Amino acid sequence: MLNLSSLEFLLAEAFSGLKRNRVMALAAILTAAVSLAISAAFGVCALATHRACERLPQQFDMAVYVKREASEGQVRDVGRRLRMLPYVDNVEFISREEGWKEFRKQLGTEISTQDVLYNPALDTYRVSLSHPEQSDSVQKAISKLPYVDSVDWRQKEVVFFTGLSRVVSAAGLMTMIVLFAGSVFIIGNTIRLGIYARRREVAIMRIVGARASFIRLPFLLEGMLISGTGALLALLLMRFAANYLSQVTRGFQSVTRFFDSGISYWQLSAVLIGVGLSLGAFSSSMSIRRYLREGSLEKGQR
Amino acid sequence: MIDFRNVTLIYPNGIPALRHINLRVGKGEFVFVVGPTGTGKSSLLKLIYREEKPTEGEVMVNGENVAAIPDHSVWQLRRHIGVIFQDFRLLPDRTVWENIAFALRVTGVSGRQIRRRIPEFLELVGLSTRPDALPAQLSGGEQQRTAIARALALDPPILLADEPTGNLDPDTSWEIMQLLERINLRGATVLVATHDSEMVNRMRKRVVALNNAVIVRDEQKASYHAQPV
Repeated sequence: MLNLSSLEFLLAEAFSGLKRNRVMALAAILTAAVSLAISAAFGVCALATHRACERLPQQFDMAVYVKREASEGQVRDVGRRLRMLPYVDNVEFISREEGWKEFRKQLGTEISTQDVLYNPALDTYRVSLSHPEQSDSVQKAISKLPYVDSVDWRQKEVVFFTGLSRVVSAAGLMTMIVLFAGSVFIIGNTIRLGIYARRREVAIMRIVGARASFIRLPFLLEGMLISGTGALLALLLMRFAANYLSQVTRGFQSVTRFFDSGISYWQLSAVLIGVGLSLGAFSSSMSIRRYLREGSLEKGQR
Repeated sequence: MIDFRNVTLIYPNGIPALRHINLRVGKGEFVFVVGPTGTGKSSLLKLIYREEKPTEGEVMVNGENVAAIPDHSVWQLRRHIGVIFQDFRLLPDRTVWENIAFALRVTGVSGRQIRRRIPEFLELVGLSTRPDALPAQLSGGEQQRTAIARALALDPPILLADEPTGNLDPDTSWEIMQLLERINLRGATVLVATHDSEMVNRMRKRVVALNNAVIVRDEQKASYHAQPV
């Protein structure tokens, strides 16, 4: 049914609709662009903090120190019990000797074995967790084990990052919902005005027997053109923002290195354009369904 | 071809537009539907092209119950029916040619076909010299001719005209009527709703007279004398 000249006609109609309705179309494009850009920014941040949290176990493993008086068998026993605890992912043994070597390496040459009377390090288990947010309860359980001297873990950092991840995701989701609802409203309104401006054409199409899909398609395309253009603008906006941010934060690479969403600009482009086009299609189909029902225009004209 | 079987149409406000209408129009007939304003002439036409559905009874077009056609298939019925109106309903920002081409475009006719067919229709309605004029540059008669060409563009076997001469002077009205008769002679079934008694009397065609939503008269080669309202 859709031959080449029909397609050409539909596209021409969609473009002429946008031209006729210039100001509103521009407003809709900008709204879509801002919504998509802010949503995408939140998405990238949420992804980055989420990934940061995933890497926390390696960054902030727990160190479990075994009491000096424990015998070799008792030390092994502590390791066995650790492995049986819930949420424990991996347990690695570091002997006093290795620990001491490590310690000296970190301090450089300033201290040598001769300066101290004995090896001050303790036998240590490095414990990584499958769920970092469970660190608190795991730590309590470990402290109660026999022959455990103390447990060292960076509670503050873990709590901070898991909390941050949750806040960013929740705030992002809320903002996204509000912005998308706004976009749907404004794009939908643009399409509604377009339908109103072309009510004569629509009435004639119906009288001469155009298919319903043929009547609807230009309006659907119009909505998708609006949000597609909005998505392209949003991408430009994000590119500029990313460049600016990376310049500003050049001095803090040790911190920013930690935040990496792990998605490329091309992946972001594909997602943004896909979401943009669906947003436009959804918004215009809402208006089409509401204002282009069979008979709704002719009834208004009578 | 068109068959009304005990049709009643009551609008949502409770006012009956048509009551117990029984009417048969054969293929190739020319029929005037006459009566004072507000007696249901337009409603009768609207039932044929499924702009309205009967409250009771059946309207059959080509043996098909029009009310039973699902909404998404109404376009198939409409391609068999050309409709013209008192107010012409042309697109003001498009030329004569473009107005006719529009009807063809939106029904999926190819560009080549359109270029081939439009001159034919312009010739038929006598507008060959004015394809590039905008509706505002045309006389009322010329605008109605454009609308007729558009209605005929898909070669519908049925042509419905709702007060086609309501906005025209008597001479122009007569030209339009002659054009409709020519279209009828080419084989189309033509129904004209009008209250223009002079035109009806000159044409001597079948006349179906409506009054207060019912058919009061149905005669061949008849005349019509408008009663004072």
